[in-house]
Amino acid sequence: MPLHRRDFLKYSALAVAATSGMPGFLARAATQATGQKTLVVIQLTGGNDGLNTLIPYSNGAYYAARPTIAIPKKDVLTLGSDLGMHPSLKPLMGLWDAGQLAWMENIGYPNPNRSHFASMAIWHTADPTQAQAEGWIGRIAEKIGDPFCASNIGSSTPLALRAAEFSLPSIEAVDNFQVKLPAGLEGAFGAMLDAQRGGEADYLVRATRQMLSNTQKVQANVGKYRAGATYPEGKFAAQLKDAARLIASGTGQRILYVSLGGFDTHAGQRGEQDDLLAQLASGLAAFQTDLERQGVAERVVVMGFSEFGRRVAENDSAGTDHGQGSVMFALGKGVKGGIHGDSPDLEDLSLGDIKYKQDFRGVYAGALTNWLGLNAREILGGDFKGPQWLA
Amino acid sequence: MTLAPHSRPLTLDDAAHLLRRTAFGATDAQIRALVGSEARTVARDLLNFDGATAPGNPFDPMQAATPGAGLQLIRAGWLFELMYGPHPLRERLTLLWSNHFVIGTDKVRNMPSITEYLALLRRHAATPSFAAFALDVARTPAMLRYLDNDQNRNGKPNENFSRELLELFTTGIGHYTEEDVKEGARALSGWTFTGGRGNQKYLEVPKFVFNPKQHDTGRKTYLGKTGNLTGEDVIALAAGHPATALFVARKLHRAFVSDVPSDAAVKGSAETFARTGGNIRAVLEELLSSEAFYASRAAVIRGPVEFIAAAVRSFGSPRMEPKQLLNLAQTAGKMGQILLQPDTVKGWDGGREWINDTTLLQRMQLAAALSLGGNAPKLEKPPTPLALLGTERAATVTALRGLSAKQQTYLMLISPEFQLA
Amino acid sequence: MVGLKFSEKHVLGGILALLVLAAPAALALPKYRMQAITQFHLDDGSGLAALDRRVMACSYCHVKETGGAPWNPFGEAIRATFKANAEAGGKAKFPEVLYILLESGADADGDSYPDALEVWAKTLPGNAASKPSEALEVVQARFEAAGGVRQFEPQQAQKK
Repeated sequence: MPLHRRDFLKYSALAVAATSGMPGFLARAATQATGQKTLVVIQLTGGNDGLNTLIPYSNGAYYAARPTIAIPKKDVLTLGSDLGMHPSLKPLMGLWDAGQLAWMENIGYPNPNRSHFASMAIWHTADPTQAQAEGWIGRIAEKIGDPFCASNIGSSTPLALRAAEFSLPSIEAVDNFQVKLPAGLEGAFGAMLDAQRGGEADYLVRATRQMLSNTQKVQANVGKYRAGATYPEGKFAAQLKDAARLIASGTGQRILYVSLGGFDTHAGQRGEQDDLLAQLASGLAAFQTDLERQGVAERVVVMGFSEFGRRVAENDSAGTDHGQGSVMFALGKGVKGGIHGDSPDLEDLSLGDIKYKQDFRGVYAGALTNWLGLNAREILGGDFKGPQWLA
Repeated sequence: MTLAPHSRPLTLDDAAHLLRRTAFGATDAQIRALVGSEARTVARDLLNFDGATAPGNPFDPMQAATPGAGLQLIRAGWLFELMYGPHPLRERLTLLWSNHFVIGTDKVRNMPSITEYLALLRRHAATPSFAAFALDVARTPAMLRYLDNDQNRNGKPNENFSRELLELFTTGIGHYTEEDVKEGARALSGWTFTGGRGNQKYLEVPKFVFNPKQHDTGRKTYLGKTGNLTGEDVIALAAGHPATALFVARKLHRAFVSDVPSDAAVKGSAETFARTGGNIRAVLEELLSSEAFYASRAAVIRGPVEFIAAAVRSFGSPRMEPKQLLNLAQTAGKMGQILLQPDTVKGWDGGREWINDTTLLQRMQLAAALSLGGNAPKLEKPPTPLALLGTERAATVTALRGLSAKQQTYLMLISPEFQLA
Repeated sequence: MVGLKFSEKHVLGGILALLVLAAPAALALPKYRMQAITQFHLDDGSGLAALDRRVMACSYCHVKETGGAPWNPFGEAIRATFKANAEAGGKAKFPEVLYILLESGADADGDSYPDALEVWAKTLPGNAASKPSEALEVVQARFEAAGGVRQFEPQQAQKK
């Protein structure tokens, strides 16, 4: 009888347990792995409008299609002769000037799907045919046999971090990884654990002691972190700060996943997206500064995506509807700054949407091969060419 | 050989043990009420449940604003029944069957089909015929969708359900060949459902249909039997296979006797299963009044949902706000058990697999919320060590001295004794 | 010996413990619907408002029960308000747009009861067949007595 696939994880989890006494995220984190490269994936949930993110400000067709919501040319942060950033992205200009910000244009996949759920699943599984049930990061965990090699920072694990038999962990807040006994109970708690027991009760006592020891180690490590930048208000920035804290304290994740939601701007897009892009940019700028101060900026890159772009023409409620091709971004010292790809062609559209010219799996492949040193073909199920966005 | 009966009248500890395993736990008074009873009578009474449900369930999935909202309502609604329902053993069995005939709400997102599936598990909770149960489940749109038999057509087989029918629902690995899986799929071809497909139709009622045009009518050989077998035939053959008795008996022992059941005891129940033609009620009545059952104390690690139901039932089922139940259902998920959504079709492994450092941390946090937190349920009487720990002589009892009632409750909830049934 | 040291003063049960029974996370629910429920004071705090379409169905603004295009007259009025605001150079978000519309005194479904009044009376502002049973003046007077349209001001604005 061949080893059943469903049992695979159990063995890999036990392999982790062998060094720590019990399988678990904290046990893994407590072993403190430093020095490895980390990829931070940023998900912009809801379908970020690429055209108002990286703006083709010299293209009259852009202004014609968006009489009320276009970004006026005078407000655009010019990056080149035909493209520039949304003014809310100003905090990222320093990174752009330093050659540490990359934009990738016209990214998508064959047979675009305009459903949030379906398209997000496609990006998560890296499979436009929607045949795969596992996420691309989940497959990494399976391939390298480490069920704790990536974490989502947030409340529920996205499909990208699902493997066939398990989900990679979600960390709501690093501060929650500690035991805070109510005052006055320390003695009683100790006495309870010390009582004589056998069987499964004894197992539970040992597991509890192991957990306490692991949380203390993790907290001791993360406790050394002092923020090297002032993060803006808000959940997204707090999650980036937790990401920086995990990286700086060596909890060993190869990939950290952070999401920012609300990009489904069907109405009143300027109000919504302007704010969201400001959150994105100010958060990422603080994150990058922090990484510099922690001395870990060399081994972290950020890669951002959204499930789709939006329709070229605005709708009747000063918003945009679901579209196809869009932009991706990457930043960090390991990134080859610049714009990878052409300004979007607004004359040759597919059902009113920008046609994709670069497959997102090619961008993933770059991260896998050139940053994480993994076999992209095994994880993506094929060879995908993409922009050379890593230095 | 069947199981030897437990012949003495129930002691206090026996009664606590029985209710921990069959009712998620109980109050001090409920436990004391059973002292002196005869084991067989009590088991029979516990199994004598009907379809009655807890009154005032505030969660109605048919009123859901979205499919995602509906799933939250279904989970919280079930948790309500687990915590407050008049028949906790029926709910314990429903939980067990949902972990045997697994479906997953990652894929099945139609409210009527999940509700129907859950109702079916309740109806068959102590079924007189395992084969009839298997057949009914196999034809629910929830199962047809989850394991793709709705895509299983003559000439274009989909073997997913056919495989799991043998591997996970009946005989278990080692008692069939790949050929049986293929032939089974042929026999099951044409079983599908109409209605309720797609995210938009999450409230539309789907219906099982047999599509004769998609059914492979040819000769098949399945588990040694040859003929123009139908879907009904293969389910009956799989459910009636000798290995199924052992496989299902083991599941029952995992739930009610021990995380590591003894082979001899499992065999005893398997023989009763075979002798009664797969009568689960008969197997359970014998099991729950057996010496093996009463001898195996503190040997089942409570899963997240059991942990929650046990705490609340031991408290005397105090009322909680709908939002607290919605929250508890999510908390169970963080502890590793999203109701109706195990990680795989194999279901939750249970036992020590429930325990890792993050889930233990979560258990401690939940215990604090249920006992010390500002939103903790208000209790008229604090739960006793008998109710929470299963015996007044538990190892934890000495550590409770000098603590306030709430602190005692907290400490007992995080004790190894509470986490075991 | 337990081998534990508790160096800090520990807060009762920890932060998370208190969150566990506080409020469930709203998982991926339509945002405008949730914002409108809050703004219209339809959330009874039970946690069910977010999930239950009886509190507010998608057809409050949309034609279909499942949302999306097309919209009913009230939904169209919201859309038009968004557009007018943007054309004038505004960047109003949904709650502000909703308030601008209600404050304008408009009657999207033409049943003679203004939208704000219908919101308050819990009838449908986008459906002429749904309207208060009492005379306009009577409902209007009670609405004004109950605080009028200002009760639907977006939360941030109220705090100011």
